[in-house]
This record gives sequence, structure tokens and C-alpha cells, in this order.
Amino acid sequence: MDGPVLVVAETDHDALTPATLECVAEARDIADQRGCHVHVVLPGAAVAGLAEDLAPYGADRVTLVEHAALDGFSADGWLAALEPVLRDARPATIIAPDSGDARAWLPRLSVRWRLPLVTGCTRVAVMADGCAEAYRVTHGNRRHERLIWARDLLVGFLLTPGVRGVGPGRAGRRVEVERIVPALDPARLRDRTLSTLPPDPETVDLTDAERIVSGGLGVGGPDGMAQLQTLAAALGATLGGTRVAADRGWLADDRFIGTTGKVVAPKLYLAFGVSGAGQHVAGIGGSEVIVAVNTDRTAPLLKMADLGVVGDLHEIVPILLSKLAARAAGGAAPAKPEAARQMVHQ
Amino acid sequence: MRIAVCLSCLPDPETVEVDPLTGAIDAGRTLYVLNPADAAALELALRLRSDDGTVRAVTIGPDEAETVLRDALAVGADAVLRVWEDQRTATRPAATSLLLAAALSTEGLPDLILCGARSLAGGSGKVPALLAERLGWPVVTDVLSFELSDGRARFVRRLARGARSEGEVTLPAVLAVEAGSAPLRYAGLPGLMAAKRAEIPVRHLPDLGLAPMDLAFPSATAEAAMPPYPRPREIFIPDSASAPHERVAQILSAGVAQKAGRIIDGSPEELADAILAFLGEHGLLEEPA
Repeated sequence: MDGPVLVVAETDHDALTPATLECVAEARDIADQRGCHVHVVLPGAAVAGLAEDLAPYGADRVTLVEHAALDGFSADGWLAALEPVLRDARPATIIAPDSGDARAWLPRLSVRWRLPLVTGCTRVAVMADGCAEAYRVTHGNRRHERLIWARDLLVGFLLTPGVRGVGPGRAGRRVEVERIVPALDPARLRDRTLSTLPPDPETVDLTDAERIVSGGLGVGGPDGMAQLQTLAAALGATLGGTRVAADRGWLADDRFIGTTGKVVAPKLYLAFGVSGAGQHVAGIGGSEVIVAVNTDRTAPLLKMADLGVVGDLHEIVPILLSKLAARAAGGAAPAKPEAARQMVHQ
Repeated sequence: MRIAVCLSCLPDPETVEVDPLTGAIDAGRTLYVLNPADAAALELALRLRSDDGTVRAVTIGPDEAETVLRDALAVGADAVLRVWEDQRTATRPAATSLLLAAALSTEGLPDLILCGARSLAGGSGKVPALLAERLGWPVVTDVLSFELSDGRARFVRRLARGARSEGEVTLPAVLAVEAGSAPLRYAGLPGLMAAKRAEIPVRHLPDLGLAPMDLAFPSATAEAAMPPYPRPREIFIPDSASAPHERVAQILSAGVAQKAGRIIDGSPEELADAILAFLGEHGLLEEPA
């Protein structure tokens, strides 16, 4: 049997990144075709609780590489801790998310091992004869390349986050877990992470936003949109909207949601004056909680919302703003993500 | 402080036309530009340069790539260097990093190397780390900004989902700078005129103590190129028990089913209270976690 398909997992705030799950799912497809295992290497300070989360997406074996020095990313640390683990795993293929972290330490490993490393992959697969094939984008997404590699050659692939997507995991899969404590001297790590800063709601990309306040045609104009921006700031949310609003120039072109715009997955989607046309609704499928305010009781979005409010946003928004301001002044913590929240690692 | 900046001259993606059958790029339409991330790296280097410091710009490329070095001289680089070998295989990241490492070593190693995080052509994003490993230096990718103090660089990195991290690295080091972190300054007329006349030094493989064999790296057995088409993403699966027209409706609405939500009426005051109460119940009035 071939060596395993090895995935190097990444975590963010004590959870696996979505890109990691995509890599595991991609590795599962390859392993099924080759008849081998999916072996996930999971580095971090305390990551034992995450091993089970990998099982539904296809991991057969998880190696936890735990050390206090692996709390924040360090290319030196990752390389020192993972090089022996990867060597011992004798993989046939290595897959990792195409993240800044992976692009810092895996190319260094590729120099040491003379390992071909293909970054920016949109698809990694195996052909009928067992050769690995990968697609990658070049020239600012104007051109695709298809690369085929000899069957017995170890190749590393970095999969671009978000291009694959993951389906629902399969419940009931079992995973074998082992734990390794690497010999690391934190004093010898030349690069280290001191702290992480949360995203700034005003500049974060809509697809990454946790909370979105959105406006549609009912907002009435740039003034209404500016008021929504104030509300978004008070809620720690990002402003978005419909194509109709963006086409009228009320909203920047990278801020509209829907089939031709951004596809978003926030925890809160708070819509004002958005009727809920199919083209817009197709972009908000991942939202956890939807609140919609509209004067039209028959607007489709009201039926899809967890809370549908029949009312005029021009009356409601100013009241919301004053109540939120009173709440902030009354001692409750204002939603100001920039100020206080800095997670200090070391 | 001696700073080296690695620049690449590449086809402007806006002008890239890919032949649908062969995947070849129409050379007649292509315009060449300085990679935007490299421009940000050059600007940061120029801002950092102290009175006794130097900024050296290096590029790997054919004669035409001289333009980016002349641009670098025009905005204030102290020295430039072009490296090329005639087999024209040097544009692979592995070969590029080897040539860069050899060229910087023979010219005298700087204290800091700045690269663009990713090129707009091949876009591998791995040259900075490859170069660092060949020099035995640490590397930091996706750098948004940094400052130097007693032998260290304190940097801000871009992470996924809009987050950032702060950290530090000991010098000498390779930093890979994100595009857009600093817009490149404009060149003055005297600088442009001087750059136009400047002699651009060139090094070939023998000057660097390398042979063509050194640039042979394991490569793909077959390659093809084509115009892009997006990969279909895996999405939720509609309930197979429901009627076909309902499944179509579910797919079109991307899984946003009609929820058993509440629809409420009232005065604006009551409605605002209801919204706030609802957000409070779901923990959405607290700071985002």
C-alpha cells in the first residue's frame, strides 16, 4: 500500500480553520482512489480536543504535535517541530492550506528535501494511473496550469482556501490519535508571534465578517447608508448591501452581496430595506441569524428571517442608534473590537 | 543598514490574453510592469534607509527586465543588479531563489532582504522562504508593516479572515511584503534622466559560481495551461425527500429555507426594543468573540 496522504492542519483561536477541513476532504478523495490513509499532523500548544473534529471529513490518523512554543506561529518552530514528524510519516503526498504560515515554513522544508512544492492549487487529484495532478492559477487568475507529477515522487501541494468548499462531514468515522512532544528550545526560534489582533469591521472583507448590517433599495440614498454605517460601527458589524444599492452608488462595489457579488456567512445578518430577491438571498445562505426590517409585509426576506420586523427603517434606525448609545454610556461594554481585545500569546 | 529588495518584471494581468486552445499568452498584447508587492517592498526599503544605509535592487530576468531596475534607480535605489542565464529556465521559484541567494552572497550580504509577498505572474509566493532557507535566515510572510530596533524587526502580519498578528524576528531576515502596504513614490525628473543613462550591471551563471545543472530541480512530467474556469464548490445537499420544485427552490436560495421565525409589528419604539432584545438573546450585542 502507498504511503499516506499527509495534511498539515492549521488552527485559529482553538478551532480548525475551514481551509484545513478543505485540505482533509481533498486528501480523503485522493486516499480513497489510492487506497491509502489520510494522516493529519496537527501542531499547536494544546490541540488534543480538535483531533475528533477531523474525523468526519476523512482523517484516519491524527498526530498531535504539542509544545508550549507552538502557541503562536513561528516558521522556525514549525520547521523544527514538524520536519521529523513528516519524515517519520513517510507520506506519498503532502497537502496544506495555502496560508501565509504554510508559505513561510514549507518552502524551507522543500529546499532541505528537494521537495517539489506547488502553491496556489485549486484542485489536487490523482489520475487513473496513480500520478498526482494539480491545477493552479497564475497571472492574477487569468490562466490555469495543470501539472502532472511522476507517481513515486513526493510532492507538496498548497490548496488555496475557499476554492473547494466542504460538504457535511460523515458522522461515525473513527480516528486514531497519537501525541508527540517535540524537542524545541523556544530561545532558538528566531521569529515568533507576540499577539494577534482581531479584524477591523470597517475594513474586513465581507466574506470574512462576523456581523453584517446590510441595506437595500429601501434605504433611500447615501444618507440612509451612512446612518447604517454608524449602526454597523455601534454593533461591531461590517456594512454590506444589495446590488441595487451598489449600482446606485450608495455602496462600494466590493460591498454588495449576492450571486454576482460576495457570498457571506456571518453570525448576524441584519437587513434594512432589503426585499430578498433570489439573486441577493443566494449570497446569504451561510448566515446564522437573519434579522430583516421592511415596510412590506410580503417581502420574501421577512419569511426567511429569524426575526422579521414590519416597520420603517428610517424611524427604527435612529431609535436603535440612540438606544445603543445609551446602553454604551450606561456601562455595558460597547462593541469596540479594536480597543481591548488583544489575545496575548506569550 | 544595507537593504536588498528583490524585484520582478512581469506581465500586467490586465493585458494577459490566454489562447483558449493552447493556453499560450499573446505576447503582442502583453505589457510588462513592476510587480505591485515588490513596489511596496521597494518603498518600505527607501523609507527605512538611514543616512549611511544603502538600498540595492536585484532582479532575475532578461534584458527587458532592466526597466524595473531603472525605475528603482529613478526613485532612489543606490545600486541595482540584474541576473540572468540564457537557458531561460530561471523563472521557476526554485531557480529564482537560488540565483538570488548566489547573487546577494557574491555582492556582499545585506542586513535585511525585502521581497514582494506574491508575484502577479506565477504567483507561487514561496520565493521569500526559499531564499531565506538558502541563506540560512529566518523569514516572515505577508508582512503589512514593520519597524527595526536593535537587531530585530517588529512586524505586523496579515492573517486569514481579516485578522492580523504582531511578532518579531531577529536580523538578518527575509521579509515578504504584501502588495499595497506602501504606495511607491514618484520619481523626479533628474532621477529619471540619470536612471535612463545608468549602466545596469548583469551577472550570468559563471559569475556566481553556478552551472546550469544547479538549476535543475524536480519538475512536473507534464504541464498544460488553459483559460481559467472556476471549480464548483461543494455545498449543502437539498433534502431528497422533498418535491423537485422545492429542491430547486432550496438550491436557488442557497439553503436559506423559510424559517419558523417571528414577524412582528408595532410602533418604531417597540420594534427597536424588540430588535435589541432579540440581538441580546443571541449574544450579538456583546463584543464579537
